[in-house]
Amino acid sequence: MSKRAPLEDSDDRFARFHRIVIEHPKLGGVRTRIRWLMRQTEIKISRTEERRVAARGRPIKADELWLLPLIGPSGAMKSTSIAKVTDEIFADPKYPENTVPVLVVSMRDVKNTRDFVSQILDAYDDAGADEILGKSKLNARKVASKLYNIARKKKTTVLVVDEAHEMLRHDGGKVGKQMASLLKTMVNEGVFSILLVGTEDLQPLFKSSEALNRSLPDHDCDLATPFDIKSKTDCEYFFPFFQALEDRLVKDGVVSKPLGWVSNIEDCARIYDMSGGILGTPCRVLFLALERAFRDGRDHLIWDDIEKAFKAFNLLRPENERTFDPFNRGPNKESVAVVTRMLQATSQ
Amino acid sequence: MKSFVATVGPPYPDESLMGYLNRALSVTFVDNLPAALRIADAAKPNVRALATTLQSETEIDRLSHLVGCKPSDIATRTYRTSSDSSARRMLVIDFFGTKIRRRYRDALLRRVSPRALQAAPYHRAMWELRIFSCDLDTRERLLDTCPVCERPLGWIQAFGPTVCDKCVDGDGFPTVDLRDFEQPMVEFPDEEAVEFAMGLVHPDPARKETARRSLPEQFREFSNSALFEAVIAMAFGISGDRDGRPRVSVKDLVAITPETLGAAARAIIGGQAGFDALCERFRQATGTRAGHHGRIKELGYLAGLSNSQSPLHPQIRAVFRDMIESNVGAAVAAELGAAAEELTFLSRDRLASELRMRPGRLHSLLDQKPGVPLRPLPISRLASQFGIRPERLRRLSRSGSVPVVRAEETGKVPVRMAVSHVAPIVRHLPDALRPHQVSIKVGLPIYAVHDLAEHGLIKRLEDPVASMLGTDGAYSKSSVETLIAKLKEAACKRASGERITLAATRIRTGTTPWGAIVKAVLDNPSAIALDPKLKTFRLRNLQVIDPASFTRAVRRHLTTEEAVDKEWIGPAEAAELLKITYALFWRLVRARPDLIKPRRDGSRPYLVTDIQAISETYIFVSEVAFRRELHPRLAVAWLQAMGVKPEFSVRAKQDLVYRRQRVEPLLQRWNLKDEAAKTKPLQAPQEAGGRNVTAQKLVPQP
Repeated sequence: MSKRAPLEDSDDRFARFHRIVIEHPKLGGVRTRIRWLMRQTEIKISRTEERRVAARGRPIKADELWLLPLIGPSGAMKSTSIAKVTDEIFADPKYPENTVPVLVVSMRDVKNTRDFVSQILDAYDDAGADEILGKSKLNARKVASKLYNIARKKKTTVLVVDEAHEMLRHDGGKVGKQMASLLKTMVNEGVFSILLVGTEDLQPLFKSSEALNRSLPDHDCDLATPFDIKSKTDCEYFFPFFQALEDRLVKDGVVSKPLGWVSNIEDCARIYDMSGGILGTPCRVLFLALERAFRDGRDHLIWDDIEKAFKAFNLLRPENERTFDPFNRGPNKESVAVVTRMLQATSQ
Repeated sequence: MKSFVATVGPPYPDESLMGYLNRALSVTFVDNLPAALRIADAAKPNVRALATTLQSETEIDRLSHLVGCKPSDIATRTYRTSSDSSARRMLVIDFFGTKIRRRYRDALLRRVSPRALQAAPYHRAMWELRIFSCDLDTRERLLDTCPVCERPLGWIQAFGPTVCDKCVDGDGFPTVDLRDFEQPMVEFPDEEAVEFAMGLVHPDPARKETARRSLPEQFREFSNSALFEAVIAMAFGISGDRDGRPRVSVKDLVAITPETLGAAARAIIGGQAGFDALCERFRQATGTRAGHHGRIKELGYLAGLSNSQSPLHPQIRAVFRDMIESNVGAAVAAELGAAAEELTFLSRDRLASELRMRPGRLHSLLDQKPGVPLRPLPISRLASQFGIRPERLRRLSRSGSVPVVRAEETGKVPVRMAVSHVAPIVRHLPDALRPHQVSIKVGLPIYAVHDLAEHGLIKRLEDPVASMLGTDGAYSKSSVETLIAKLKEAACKRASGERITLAATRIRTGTTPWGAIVKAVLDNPSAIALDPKLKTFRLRNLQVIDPASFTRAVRRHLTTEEAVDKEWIGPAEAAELLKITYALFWRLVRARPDLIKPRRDGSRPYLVTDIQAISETYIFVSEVAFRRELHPRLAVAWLQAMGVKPEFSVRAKQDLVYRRQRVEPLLQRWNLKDEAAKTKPLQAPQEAGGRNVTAQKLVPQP
């Protein structure tokens, strides 16, 4: 087969692809959690501020705030969801322009507490960010005290630490403990509430560190768990999400015709097997497949693109994260049976 | 360039730059001043001097951006350094619009008022001035050392103005809140004056305006800088015992208190009265200013401020000169009372006539313009103008003979005396002789000089003249010479006879009545003779041709006191009664005024009974030696060997006096040739000491 020239407008198509944002079926839970955290924190902070004024600058014991984990598998659209929620908050006219009600920092490439504090200061665009890096010793209480001034100035109530599991990767977990202590001090000193967003790797931190061993209110957020199509609710969220995505691809002109990847039971089972219940995996595979199709000069996807993209993606993933390959010998029989049963139940 | 997110807003109107930066950095992650300056690219070798070294506009812009304030907030709090226009080119800083000397500001220490920090936690710029020891509003003494660690409060670590920058816990948080250590309050004896002094430099323009409203007319034209310099210079002078050098030392500036500051400020706002009060304070320390004279001696540092070496504004110097002039005049008037009028406004013509001097010559001498009243002058000036030694005038001032203007009651110089009072006395000086000079010239014992004057034979000058000479009396040289000439004329012939001293013993009046003798000689010159070959005239060398008639003639001239009062004796007779020399008698009089008391004035002041009583109580070495037939020194050794200790000595270890009651038995026993008594000491040998053995050798062996 003669190889065709790549599509000339592939860049444009990718740009359109990146602009597509489909709300995560469980985003409402994340939004609710962050909003709840902000409201409660604002109340406590205002009370602490009143006490601080009454103490005329003398040190006081601030009301403790919250430190909550948001744990989910890689690709569960945690970061995307957080970004969407924070965008909504920033757009809220309730918060003035020069304030940062929610501060999002990432733990990626953060090797020690100095880096972390510097990240926060950088996020605030504070002049002390570089100075912190040069310090040989960092005291958690002092950092919290200084951050308090900045947080009050910027009216920050919640700090979202993305990729929080990264903190355990360095120095055999020693840094993680220091970081946990620092985070705990921040909430104890009433600087802001903290939402730690990360994968299951974050769990040991909460289990080992007494400081962070706080109970997680479980009523409002289950973003952390993968979709289980045995559950009717999950099933009603899961497949319509991919259908909506394919519709948007066609509608926005990313592809000329739909592939129909959730058009029949077998395809649905294949997509579910591929994802392992995580929405982010098929999305990433889709991106790779599109890249392959455009390179091949096609303006539409074929299953071969999906298959090859998935195999490449799955191969590169850590072994424990790899999912069932439905392209080897067809989709998982069990998955097909479940999908069939659920669709029948749904149609009834 | 990034800025700090956490800021403290704009500075307070009277906040210092260092205080503001300290406060601003205390809420940031960079709580170290040098580090913050590095970030702002405004690093300085000595950050403590930032307020004076931060001059570049770009640096100020960057720093203000960093801490989140306007550049003007920082620029107005920097103190531009320059040299003043005086000859010394002293360094001054622009302190919120008032130029003050750089050394008045303490850049190293952080001084705070805990009470003021309780009211508002920021560092007032006024606390930087080391000349103010307290806060103006709270009147609390400023604290510059941590009460806990006792180390000075600094500027490098910016933990905020309310805490000690050295006392920190393990987490790096300050542990000592200075607001918990209230300092003693300081009393403002003159509240208005202190507020005026501080208001001159206060950063608040309203306070400056209030201060200027207190100014009297003569000071209104001067700037706050000039006035403040004057106030501080005067307060500095009060605070220490200083001479007239108008220099301000940094280490002594801390001695300035609200009390001295108030007194100095009152000298400005209180007009002449306030200035006079200050002059009085300086005048009280007059006696401590050794090596100075004149106004510097009297007013010290204050007078120094008005001279050409003063660092003050030339016109302020001139005003001070006038005020000092006025004060000195007033002080003289107050001292002299009613006499001041006469003294101060003495006619030049009158003075010239007193001094027998042409008025023009007098003017040139006094270096004053005609028509200007003559004022009392200090001793040094009087001495130079009259051409006499200052010691004489000092003696005169101490004598109380003339009205004297002193700085204080202690009798210390500088002393001023009226020219009109001194001039008549000085006029007599060339003609004045001391008593011993008269005695030498006339050739009589010194005690006879007074007798001569009593008989009107020589002229006794006024007491002030004697005071100037430092003697008991002064006599006119011309009168002495006249007397000598008369005597020479009367006695200028050769004849045989008896010496007049021998003839005088026939008169039997005790002390030789030289006054009566000279009168007798002058009445009857033919009765005496003098060898014309004698080059030097001495009255005691006269020869009496007929002693008997001469004695009768003398008796006629004896005063009643000398003639009839046998109970009264003179010093010579008293010495004879005590069996001591005339010289020893006078030494005894001086050493024991309680023992020998003159009962009246005149040449025979002692009662015979008094002297006899002394003679019965005490015995002198000369009598013992005479009666024991020993050399006086051996007589002392004998008495010591006998165990008799002297009762007292007229001079140190000389002129020993013994109690007669103890010596008389020894002498009597000696006369009775009682050999046993001769060798038997009255006291135990050990009491006699080591010399006992030697002394016993003096005792004649049987």
